[in-house]
Amino acid sequence: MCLSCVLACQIKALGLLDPRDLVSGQKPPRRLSLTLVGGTPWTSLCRHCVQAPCVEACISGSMVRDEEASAVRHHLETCVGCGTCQLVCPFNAISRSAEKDSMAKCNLCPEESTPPCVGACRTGALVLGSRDHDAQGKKRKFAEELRGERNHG
Amino acid sequence: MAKQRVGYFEDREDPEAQCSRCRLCELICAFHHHQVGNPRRAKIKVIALGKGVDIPVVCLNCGDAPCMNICPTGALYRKERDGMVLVRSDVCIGCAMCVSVCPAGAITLDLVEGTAAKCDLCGGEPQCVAYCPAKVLRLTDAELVSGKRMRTFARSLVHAEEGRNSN
Amino acid sequence: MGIFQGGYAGKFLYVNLSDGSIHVKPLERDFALKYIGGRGFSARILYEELGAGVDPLSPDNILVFATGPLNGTPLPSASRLIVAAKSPMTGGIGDASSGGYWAPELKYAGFDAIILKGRSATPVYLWVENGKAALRSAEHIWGKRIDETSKVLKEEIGDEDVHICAIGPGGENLVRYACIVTDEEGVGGRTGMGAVMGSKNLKAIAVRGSQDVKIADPKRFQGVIDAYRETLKGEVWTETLRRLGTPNLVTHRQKLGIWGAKNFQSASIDGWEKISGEAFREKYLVKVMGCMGCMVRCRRYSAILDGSCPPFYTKGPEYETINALGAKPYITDPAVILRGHHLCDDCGIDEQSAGSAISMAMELYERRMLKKEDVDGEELVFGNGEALLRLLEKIVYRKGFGDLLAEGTRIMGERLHAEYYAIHVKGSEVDASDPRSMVTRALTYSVATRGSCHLRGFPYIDEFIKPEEGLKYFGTAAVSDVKALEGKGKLVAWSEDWITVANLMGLCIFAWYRSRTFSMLIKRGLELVTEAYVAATGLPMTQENLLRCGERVYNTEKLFNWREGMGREADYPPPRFFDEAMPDGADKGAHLDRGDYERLLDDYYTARGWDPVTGCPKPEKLEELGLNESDR
Repeated sequence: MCLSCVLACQIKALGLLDPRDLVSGQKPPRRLSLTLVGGTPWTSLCRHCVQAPCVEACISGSMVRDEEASAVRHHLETCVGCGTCQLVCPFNAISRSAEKDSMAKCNLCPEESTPPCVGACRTGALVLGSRDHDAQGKKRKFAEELRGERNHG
Repeated sequence: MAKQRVGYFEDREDPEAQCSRCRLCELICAFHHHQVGNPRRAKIKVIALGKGVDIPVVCLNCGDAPCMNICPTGALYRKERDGMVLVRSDVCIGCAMCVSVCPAGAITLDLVEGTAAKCDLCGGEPQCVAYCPAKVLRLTDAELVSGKRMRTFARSLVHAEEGRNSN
Repeated sequence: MGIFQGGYAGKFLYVNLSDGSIHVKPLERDFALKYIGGRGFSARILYEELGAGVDPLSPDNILVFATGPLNGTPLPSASRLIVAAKSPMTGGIGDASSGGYWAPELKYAGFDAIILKGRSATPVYLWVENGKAALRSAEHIWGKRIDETSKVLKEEIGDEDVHICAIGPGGENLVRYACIVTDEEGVGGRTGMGAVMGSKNLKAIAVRGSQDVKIADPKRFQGVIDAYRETLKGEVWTETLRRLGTPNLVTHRQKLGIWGAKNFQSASIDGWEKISGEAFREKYLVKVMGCMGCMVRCRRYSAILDGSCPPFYTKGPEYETINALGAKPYITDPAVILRGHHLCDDCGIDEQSAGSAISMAMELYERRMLKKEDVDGEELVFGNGEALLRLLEKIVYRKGFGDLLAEGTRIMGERLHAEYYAIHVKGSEVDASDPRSMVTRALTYSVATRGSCHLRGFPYIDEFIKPEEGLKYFGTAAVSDVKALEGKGKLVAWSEDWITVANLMGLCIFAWYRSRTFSMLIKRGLELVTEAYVAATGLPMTQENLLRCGERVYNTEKLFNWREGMGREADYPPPRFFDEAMPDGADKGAHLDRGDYERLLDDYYTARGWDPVTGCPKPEKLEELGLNESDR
């Protein structure tokens, strides 16, 4: 759990390019954080739910599901910072932004070709998922197992 | 009641008793649940491995179901102990955690409704089993399958022993 | 929300390959009710949008991929695609039918048909997904065989769930009888549709769809599915198909003595057991397979893994494979037949026409009308399997003698002054069987609008219809006598309209239309089909009306051919069938009587309401069918 992804996200949020430009006391919005759950790293990160509770809960219409991109976008301009989305998110993925009176959530960085967090991950643990979360690949592996196509250890 | 799921039973020696990739299971599943023709909305899917190997893949009804464990809203549940894992669509938020954690890829988000979609054994009479022309899908007891494999394994052990002795 | 409650997607995709423009046209309700789908759509579109006299391999030809309203529904065996264009083989209407999964997938992608015009300057493939389409470069796959093409495209698109219809080097090299191949397996073989596709520089169409095909009345539709399943119980024909596939017909051909072996010089085959359905099952069958939703599963999946040649897997063989690469060139080595089949399918050439062309060359060689130096040094006698395999490859790449073989038997006949030995109708080689002893079959093959075809009509009804049924449906009990002429004109006409319905709906003929009894034929192939259409689409339809649609489509095709200058003279079997009696076999000595044929042709035209002298549909008939005078 090296937290490179968290660092990359925070640097992006502050508009910096180099981590050495970080000044102590800065409080970038928490859009991605990690905890250990039973010894396994668990991300508090937006899952971009199809029937997202935050979308339903948002009183200003600032949380919008973009079907094309399979993402839930948080529109900063209209967010009033009521915090209801934070309450309903099961993944603790939404937090309050200290500077602006609004909320902060992963937007999948549409302006980047690869989200910086994914780019920073050294082990490939954090990946930009395929639309079906590789269900097809898993079905295939299972089918191969069933047929004994794969060798066991 | 023992734990049930739809299992694939083929006979590799019989060219007619293997999945023939007709995908009627997919068609009838989607039709039964959604009243449309759309195999992408089926909860069972035939995987073509090539060289004449086709395997239908469907929920295994895990004992310690990862999908149930990870669901943040409790949308995945069982009606009774050993019952099939089911979905409460009105509670499901479509976060797809179950999709990413299922080891068989057997649960997905329905393309139209956006909520978790998985085999529900059609309430007790699985349609895919009823309509499979090759009759290779069966409503099976999970114990039964492992029992069969144990016997197959034991038999192979015996043959291995015999082989060793004859050398 | 579309205007259709179910069945139809409601959209046609128009692609102009010359300028790359793509647009969507709505399917009109009236058009759907008049032409239903599949061959109905393609025939009408070709008739309306293609002028007369077009060179089939020029940019002016139009290539149509058409589905039916039942494709994509959960109805068993609603799997079939129609590909149509003006045929480079016949110069008339051409179409090929292929099973598998492509046609349903196009419906899931939201289209009823794709209409391609013009010619692309560079090789392209069409990518269709959920209501959208785009042309992409195919430079990197031009030249590749079918298997390789599919592999590359699926990787490029990043999804193994993509369904691909492609041409191989055969189509690229404009082999006149090149074919299209869906999902690396199903072949839309006849009439040279692959050559048309190749002439447009279109390498493949890849489709992926995840949209619903709606069903207007799901409960009623479920009823049809279950009723259909009931009809299969105890149906011996479907059990035989599952066990042996279409190769089960080998026994039938030998028993009746109706092979077209040695280029139709022999009706019986020594060693036929080696290439029977049982033989192929025993030696090479890996598994039986089924097209989308099929309960019959007549497809074969075979392999040669014994080291006698580089190992390969292939769909098939079909009966026609054994006919074309076995019976006609008189080859009784099943491995050669399977290898030839695999080559034809992977390179995209029609094995029927290819086998026929080589068989004709074999006869000419044995008659010394072709010399060794004419045929690239081959000892081109009947039975020479290795020569067959070498020549098949040469046909694909138009090398050496393969270049002439690639033109088909009609042009071979013209160039070699050997027209008599070219066994074709309208330029398309005779398949299925030798009809010399059954004048009704000879008629069916010869009047088929797409050239010789044994599936355009259904004369086999006379093999099992009861006298009282004959009286009821065709006005005479004599219809049940295979050898009698009476009522057969009407029978063939009716059967053509009826069989056409399968091609309109997207249904498989074997799963829906073959039967051992006439009452079941009507029940399954007409009553249930009508019920399925109404339940799926919510549109009004009766059995009568459906037959009328079949008739309308058939007449449209006839008008197309008529406009191309094909009249009565094109509706005859090859002269060999009249001039030579059955040479051997169970029906030795039987011959096709010219007088009988003429009479039967007259009857057929009269039954159809066509002018008996010219063969042209009469104005009254056209009006009856809602085809205008201006359509002529």
